[in-house]
Amino acid sequence: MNGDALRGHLELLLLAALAEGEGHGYALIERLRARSEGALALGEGSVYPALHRLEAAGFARSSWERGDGRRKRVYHLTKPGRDKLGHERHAWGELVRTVELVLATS
Amino acid sequence: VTESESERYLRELRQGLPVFGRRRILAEIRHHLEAALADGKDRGLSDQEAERLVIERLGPAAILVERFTDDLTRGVRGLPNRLVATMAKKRILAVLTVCLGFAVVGAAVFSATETSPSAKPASPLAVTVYFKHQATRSQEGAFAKKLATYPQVKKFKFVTGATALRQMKKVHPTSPGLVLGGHNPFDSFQVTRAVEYTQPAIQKILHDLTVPGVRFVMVHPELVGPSWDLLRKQLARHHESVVLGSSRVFAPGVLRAMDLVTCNDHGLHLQMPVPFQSGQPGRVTFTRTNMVSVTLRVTYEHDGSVRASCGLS
Repeated sequence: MNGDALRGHLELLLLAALAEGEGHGYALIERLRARSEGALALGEGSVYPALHRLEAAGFARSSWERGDGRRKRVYHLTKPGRDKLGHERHAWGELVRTVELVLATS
Repeated sequence: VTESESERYLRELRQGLPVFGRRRILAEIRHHLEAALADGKDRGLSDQEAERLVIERLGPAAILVERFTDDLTRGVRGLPNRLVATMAKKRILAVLTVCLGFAVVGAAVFSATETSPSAKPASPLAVTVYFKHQATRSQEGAFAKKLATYPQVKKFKFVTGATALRQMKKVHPTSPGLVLGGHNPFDSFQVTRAVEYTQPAIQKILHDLTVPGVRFVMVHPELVGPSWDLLRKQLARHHESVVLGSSRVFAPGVLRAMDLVTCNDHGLHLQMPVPFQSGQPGRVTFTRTNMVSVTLRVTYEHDGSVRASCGLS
């Protein structure tokens, strides 16, 4: 599945990845790839602006950390981010159920 | 010393990003490049191959710059960015104004054939390349790569459809929510030509630069979709109807692009604008509560006539 099919859902996916624990951008991309068993081929250039948007909206916060001799910007999920994820998960479930209903009857 | 692909990529980012926030973004992307390169080498790839793959996955630097700038221009990070936003708005306004002028006088055609450099001084007019609504990021990236190889192109800037929509809403807050082709204006590249090439010359190379999914339209009518209320003041919109369960053919000249065709289904008016592109039907469907659908199809035929049908399905 390429990144174009994921337009509009990237923030949700990143929130879900952050719910597993803090991580820097590349680690989050790898986490999503692993969780989707390799099916998600994210446009990696989209991920960093999306993380910045999540932070600007208060759904994530970030800080510099040093590891392996390198400085990394590590993202953490905030309480509003966790709430947002719960809300979006519910909305996604509703959408999937609705689409399945339509597909099942067509 | 030869510049590596990663260094070149970071340099392009550095040159394109606004000063505010640039250091952080560069550090993040640098870390991404290093981590991905290390991973690639662990998987047995050569340095060059790993570098090529990671840069390919990140996408062209120009697009990444635009995505970051997109957020910065919303003023979420303070005054410097509000200044950027103001400049961006003015640029969009200028392009739209120029293009609307072209649309109204009927100059929206690629009629020029000149491809060679000219001694004429370049006007400040910008050329904008619009993408199809369904164009993919990889198609846009492929286009950017090709564009960068042309000497006629001095520089280009990627503007996302979402950015265009936000800016248009600021400029025209009373515009209807629906714009042509869907809820979103189109991704575009704003191209500045090299000074020694004329406007027709640059149009010609863009016209010839065929990449799937890309619409090379400098002044395509869809361009003015977001500012429909503005266009409506310039062009009177004709309206015809078709009865449910029937078809009509309108002779050439009766209806033109963006005129409206409607179909009345028990008081509900389906409406469909005449498409800009000939041969490609536009349609709108309404599904009743009994799951029966009413579909209005409108096709702008190659001979200039318009075929409309409204029926149940």
